[in-house]
Amino acid sequence: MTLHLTFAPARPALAAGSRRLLTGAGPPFAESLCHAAICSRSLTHRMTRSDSERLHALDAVRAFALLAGVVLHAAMSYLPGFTIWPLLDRSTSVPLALTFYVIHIFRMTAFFVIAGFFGRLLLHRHGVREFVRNRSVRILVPLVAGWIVVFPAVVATLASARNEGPPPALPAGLERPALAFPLLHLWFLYLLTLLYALLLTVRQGIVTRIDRGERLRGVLDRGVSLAMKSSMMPVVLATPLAAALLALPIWPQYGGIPTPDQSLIPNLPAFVGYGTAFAFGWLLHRQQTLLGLLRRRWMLHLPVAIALTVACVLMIGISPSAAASPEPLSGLPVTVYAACYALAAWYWTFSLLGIGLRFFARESLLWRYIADASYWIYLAHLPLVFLLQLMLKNLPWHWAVKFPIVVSTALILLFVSYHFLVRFTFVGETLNGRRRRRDGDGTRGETPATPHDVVAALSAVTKRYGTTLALDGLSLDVRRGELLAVLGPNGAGKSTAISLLLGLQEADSGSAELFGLTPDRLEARMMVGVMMQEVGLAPELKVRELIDLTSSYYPSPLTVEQTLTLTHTTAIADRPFAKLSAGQKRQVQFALAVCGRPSLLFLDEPTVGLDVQAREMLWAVLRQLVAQGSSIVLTTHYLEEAEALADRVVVLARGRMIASGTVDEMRSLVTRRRIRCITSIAAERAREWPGVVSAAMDGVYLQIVAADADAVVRRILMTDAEAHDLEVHRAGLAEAFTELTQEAA
Amino acid sequence: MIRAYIAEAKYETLRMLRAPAFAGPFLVIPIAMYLFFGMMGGSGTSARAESMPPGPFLLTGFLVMGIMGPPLFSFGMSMALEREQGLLQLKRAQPMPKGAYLLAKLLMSIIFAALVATELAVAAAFRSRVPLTAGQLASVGAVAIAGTLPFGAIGLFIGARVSGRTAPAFVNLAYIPMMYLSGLFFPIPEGIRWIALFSPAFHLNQLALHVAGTPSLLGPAINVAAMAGVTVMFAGLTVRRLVRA
Repeated sequence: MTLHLTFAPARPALAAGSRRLLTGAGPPFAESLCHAAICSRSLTHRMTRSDSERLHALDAVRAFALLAGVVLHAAMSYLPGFTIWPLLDRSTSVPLALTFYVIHIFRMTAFFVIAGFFGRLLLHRHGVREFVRNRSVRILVPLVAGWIVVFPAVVATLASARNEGPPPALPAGLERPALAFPLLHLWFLYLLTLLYALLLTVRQGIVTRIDRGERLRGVLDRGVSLAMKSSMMPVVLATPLAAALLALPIWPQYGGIPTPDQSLIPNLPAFVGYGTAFAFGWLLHRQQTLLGLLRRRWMLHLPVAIALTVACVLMIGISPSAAASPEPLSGLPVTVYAACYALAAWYWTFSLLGIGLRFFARESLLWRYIADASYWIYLAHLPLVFLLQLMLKNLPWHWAVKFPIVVSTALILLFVSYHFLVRFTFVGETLNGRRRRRDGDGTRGETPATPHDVVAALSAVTKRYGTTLALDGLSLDVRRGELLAVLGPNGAGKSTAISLLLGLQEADSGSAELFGLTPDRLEARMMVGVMMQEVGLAPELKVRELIDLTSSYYPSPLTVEQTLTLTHTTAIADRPFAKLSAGQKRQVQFALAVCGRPSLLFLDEPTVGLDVQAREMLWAVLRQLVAQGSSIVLTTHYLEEAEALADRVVVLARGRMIASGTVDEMRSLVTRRRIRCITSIAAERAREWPGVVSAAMDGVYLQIVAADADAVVRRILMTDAEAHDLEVHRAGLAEAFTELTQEAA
Repeated sequence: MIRAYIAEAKYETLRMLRAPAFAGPFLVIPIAMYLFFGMMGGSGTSARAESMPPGPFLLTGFLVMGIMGPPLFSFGMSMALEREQGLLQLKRAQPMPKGAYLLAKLLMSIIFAALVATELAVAAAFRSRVPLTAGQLASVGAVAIAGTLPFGAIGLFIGARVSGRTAPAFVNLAYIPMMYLSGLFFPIPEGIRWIALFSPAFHLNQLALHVAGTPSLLGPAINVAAMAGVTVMFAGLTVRRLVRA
C-alpha cells in the first residue's frame, strides 16, 4: 500500500501569485500568444519558476541575435572589397569588417536553436493544430506582408543609389540561381517555415508511426545527453555544416554560410547548418536539464569560440573578400578553415546561450520590452539602414562617425516606431501576440505572502546513480516558518533530496527550487544555512575563525560573538578545530549553519554524537529560530527528535514520499495499538488470535501489539475475566514509521 | 562578496602558516640550502666551488624550488583531502562565491612565493657575489609571483582527481622529478636535456634568470608561452572535470 496524503496548503493561491510574478503584469498578458521563434510569455504561466527563467534567458539571446543583425547590416557598407552589399561607403573599416565577420558566424545559428526549442515547446503545449495556426500568424504572415512592404522600399532606395553609378558586378560564379527570388533579409522566416513544414511531416508522418514506444527517441535523447556531457556536441553539430560548406562548388569563404538566400530553394549550407541548429534546439527542449550544462560552461565555450574565430581570421586574412579564395588558405587546406568556421559557429552559439542562461535568466521589464521589440525592429530595419547608408556614403566623414550614426538613428527610429505604431496595434498583436495596456504599474511582482509560502521545492524529481534509482519522481515543498523532519530508512533518498535542494547535484528530470531560484544561484544559497554529516573543517583554524570565515559568505550575518553565545560555544572559541571532541565539532558545525542568519536551515542528523545537554540546547535554538520565522529541514534517525520538534513529517522510502503530515496525523495513520495487562493468558496463545501482530511477556505483563485493538481487548476479557492493569496505547512515531516503511518495501 | 574572497584567502594563508609540515619545508629549506651552497661557493678556490654555477643561478634555482611547493601541495594535497572530507561539498552548499576557494589557494601560494623571494633577496643582498640591482630583484620577485600559476594548475589537476591518501604520492611524483630535471641546481644529463622543455620549473628558472640579467636560452617569450600553456592546459582539463562532476 502506498499512502499519499497531502495536507495541502493554499496551493492555488500561490500558483496565481507566482503566475502574476512571472508574467510581469498579471491578467493582461495571460491571453497573449508567443511570436516568431519566439516569445515565452504565454508559455510561462503554467510552468515553474526555473522553467520560466530559462525562457527569459532564451528570449534575451534571441533578441540579441536579431539586434546584432541590425548592426551587421549597418556595418556592411564599410567593408573594403566586400562587393556583395549594394551600398559601399567611401570610408572603409577593418574593425567593422571583423564585427561583421564575428556576428555573421553565430547569429543565425543561435536564432535557429532557439526557434527549434520554442517550436517544440509550442507544439507540445498546444498541439499540432494550434502550432500550425500560431506559426502561420507569427511567421508566414510577417514573411509575406513584410516582403510586400520592405521590397519596394529597398528597391526605391537602391534605385536612387544607381543614379550615381552602376551597381557593383556580382563576383564570378555567383550568377543567379534557379528559382531566383529576392527574399532579402526575410529569408530566415522562409527557411523557418520550410523547417516547420519538414518537421511536422517527419514527426506526424514517420516518427509517431515507427517510434510508438518512443524507444528511438529515448536512444536519441541519450545520445544528445552523452554528446553534451562529453563536450563532443559542437563537433557533432559542426560536422554537417563544414561538409555542406565544402560541398559548395564556389564558396566565398569570408562570408561563411552564404546568406541571404537568393532563391526559393535554400542553399545547401544554410539549409544544413540552420536545419541542424533547429533540430538541436528541438532536442534540447526534450531534455531541458542540458541547459544547465550550457549555463555552467559558458566560460569554457567563450574562449574556445574566440580562439577559433582568431584562427579563422588568421587563415582568411583580415580584409574581406566576396570571392572564393583559391586553396590553400595561408598554407592550410580549406577543409581546416571550414572545420574551424563551423566549430566557431557552434561554440559562439553555446556560449551565447550559456551567457543568456547565466545572466539574463531573471525576468526584467527592460529585456522583455527589448525582446518584444526586436522582432519588429529586425523585420523593418533594412530599408531604413539602406537609406541612412545612402545618405552618408559620399560624405567625407570617417566611418567611426558614420557607422554610429547609422546604427543609433536606425535603432532610435525603430524603437520609437515600435513603441507608438506597433506595440498596442494589430501589427504588434500579429508579431508578438495580444497585449493590452496595463492599467497601473503598481501591482507588478508582488507575491502574496501567505503563511504557507514555499521556500524550497522539489518537483517531480528523478535522480539515478548508475542503475540505482535514488529519487523516483519526488515532489516536496518546504514552507516558510515550518520545521520539516525528513525520515526514512538508510538509502531512502533523504541525502540526495537535500543535495539537490542545495544545488550540489542536478536532477535527471524535474526541478529543484530554492526561494524561487535554481539552487546553484548564490543569491538563493545566501538565505540558507547548512549542517552536514561528517565534515572535516580546517583543523588549524580556531572556532572563532571558522565562524568568521563562514559569516563572510553571508550578506548580513550575526557577529561572531552573537553566534558563539547563541550556540553556547563561547568556551571553546579559541580552540583549534582539531583539538575539539566529536560533540564539540558538531556544535561548531551547527554554529556555522546559523551564523549567516539563514531563512532556511538544512540539518543532516544534527544531534548525532551530542550529549543530552548539548542536544537540549540545540533543540532550544531550533525552536527559537522557527519562532522567528525561519524554516528548518531536518533529517534524523531519532524519531523522538522529530516528535519533539517537527511541525510536519515526511517519510521517504525508495526515493518516493510515502507519507506526509503532522506528527499526530502520522501516528493516526497507524491503526496499531500496544496493549499491556496482567493476565494468565500465555503469549504463545495470544499470538494466534486474529488481529494480533505480536505478543510477548514483559515481566509480569503480557504485551501485545494489535492491529485491531478493540477486538483483542474484548477477547482478553472474555478469555480471562481476572485480567487487570489493562493499558492501551496508541503507537508512537517509531511504530508508525516502521509500519509505513515496511509497507513501502 | 569581496569580504568572502578576502576572508577565504586570509584564513587559507593562516592555516598554512600554522601547519608546520607545510610552512616549514617551503619557507626554510630553500633559504637554508641557498646559504649553505652559497657559503661553499664563497670559499672561492676549491674545485668544488668551481663546479658550482655562478651568480644568480643559485638564487633563482632555490627561488623556483620555493615557489613550486606551495601551489603544488596546497592545490594537489589539501584539495584532495578537503574533497574527501566533505569540506568542499559543504563550501559548495554554503554561499561561498565559486572562485573564492581557488583564488584563496592561489593568493596563499603567492604570499608564500613573496616570502621566499624576500628571504632570498635579503640573503642575496648580504652576499655581495650576486650583483643584482634592486630593480632586478623586484623583477625576479614579480616573475616568482606569476610563476605560481602553472604549478597551481598542475596541483589543481591532481587534487581534483586523486583521493586524499594517494595525493601526497602523486604530488611528490610531480614535484621531485620536476625539481631535479629542470636544471635548477645542476645541469641535466646530456641525453635527456629535452625533458626540461616540458617542465614549467625550467621555464620559470629561465625567465627569472632572464630578468636577473642572464639571457634565457630559448627567449623569454617561449618561456612565458610554455608556462601559460601548462596553466591553461591543466586548468582547462580540471575545470572540465569539475564542471562535469
